[in-house]
Amino acid sequence: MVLTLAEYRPSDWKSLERDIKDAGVRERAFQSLKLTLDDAKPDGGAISDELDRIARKLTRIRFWSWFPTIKVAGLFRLAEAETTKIFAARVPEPLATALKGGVGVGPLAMPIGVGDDEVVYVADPMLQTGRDVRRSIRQNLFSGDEEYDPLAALAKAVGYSPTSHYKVVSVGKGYSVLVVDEHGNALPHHPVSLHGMPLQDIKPMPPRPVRERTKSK
Amino acid sequence: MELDELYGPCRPAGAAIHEAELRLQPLSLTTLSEKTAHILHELLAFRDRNKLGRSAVQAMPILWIVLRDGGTRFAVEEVWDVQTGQFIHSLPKGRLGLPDGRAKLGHPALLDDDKAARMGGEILFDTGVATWVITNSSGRYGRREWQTPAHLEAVAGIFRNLGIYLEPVFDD
Repeated sequence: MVLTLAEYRPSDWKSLERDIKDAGVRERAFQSLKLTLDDAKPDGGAISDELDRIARKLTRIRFWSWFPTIKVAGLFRLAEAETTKIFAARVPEPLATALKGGVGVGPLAMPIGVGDDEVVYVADPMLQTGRDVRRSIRQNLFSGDEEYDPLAALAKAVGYSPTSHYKVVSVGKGYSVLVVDEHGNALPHHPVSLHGMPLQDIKPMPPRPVRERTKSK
Repeated sequence: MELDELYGPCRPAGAAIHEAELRLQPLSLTTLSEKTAHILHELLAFRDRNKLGRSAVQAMPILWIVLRDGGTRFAVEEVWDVQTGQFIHSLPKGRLGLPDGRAKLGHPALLDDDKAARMGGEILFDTGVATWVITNSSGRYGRREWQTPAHLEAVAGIFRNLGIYLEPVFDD
């Protein structure tokens, strides 16, 4: 049986801190976090306080460093916005940025991770993995020293349409939805815009052609 | 030794207080004294006495708080209906979701109008080490920046002087 993190006693936390190197322990703790987030209904009082305690505790034992940002941020997609806010205030970067962006975004899209170039991106929650998105970012994103807005860079990287307020990109296993303004600049997760477009109306673009890898001789 | 030095200064809560915690107090609220210590003592001992005790007491954290004058109060965590102001049930450890209209009464509800306290936390049975422990698990009164393990040790001493032995576990 998996306990929620709120059920952990001091010795459970001690064991987790000591044994987190073990993959099985890590997985159980991850499931505990999931149960905790599913159950949580912050109240601005004792329950919020307990959630804050859990967020602090996980940070103190460096729990987050064992999991990809994308995997953890994905867990929060169905959590209450207030729960996400409590955790976002305690977790380290880049997870904090990913979670802060997710607050109030609504069911259609949320940030699911941060790419290797510190880019926050949004994707449909049905998307099971952000690996394809990350690959796409890596292949297309600007590099070099010039200053840039990461979201605008992402918009350009995936080829936004200036006439549309939405850009939908097929990424193999699902859709990635990017919100842009009338000038094609990416908006920082605008909830109203996203709510304005039901998921079933979003038509995916054809998948990007897969580049053949050159075989080494 | 001064109270400030022993248990820390008496200051307001370090995080938000729910509206219900401002106006309601738990049914089980008790001031710790030579006369009441036996209640807590029996409650903790009840766990070891039989299966019923284990089941009923083990899952239930007991909140404690040290007041301005150095007095100590304790109560179990209770859920109340915020509209009717009625007690509904006590709360086992781990519940983070309540139906609308219910409120969990945490540490601020153990105080009177002045919601300032020296320190607060929980007493619970840690199954991993099979011991009753006392922690500073209260974001409002147990983890403010100036609070130290020495403060918690001092609070454990209050209970120890009344024959209640608790292992202090400071959660930073």
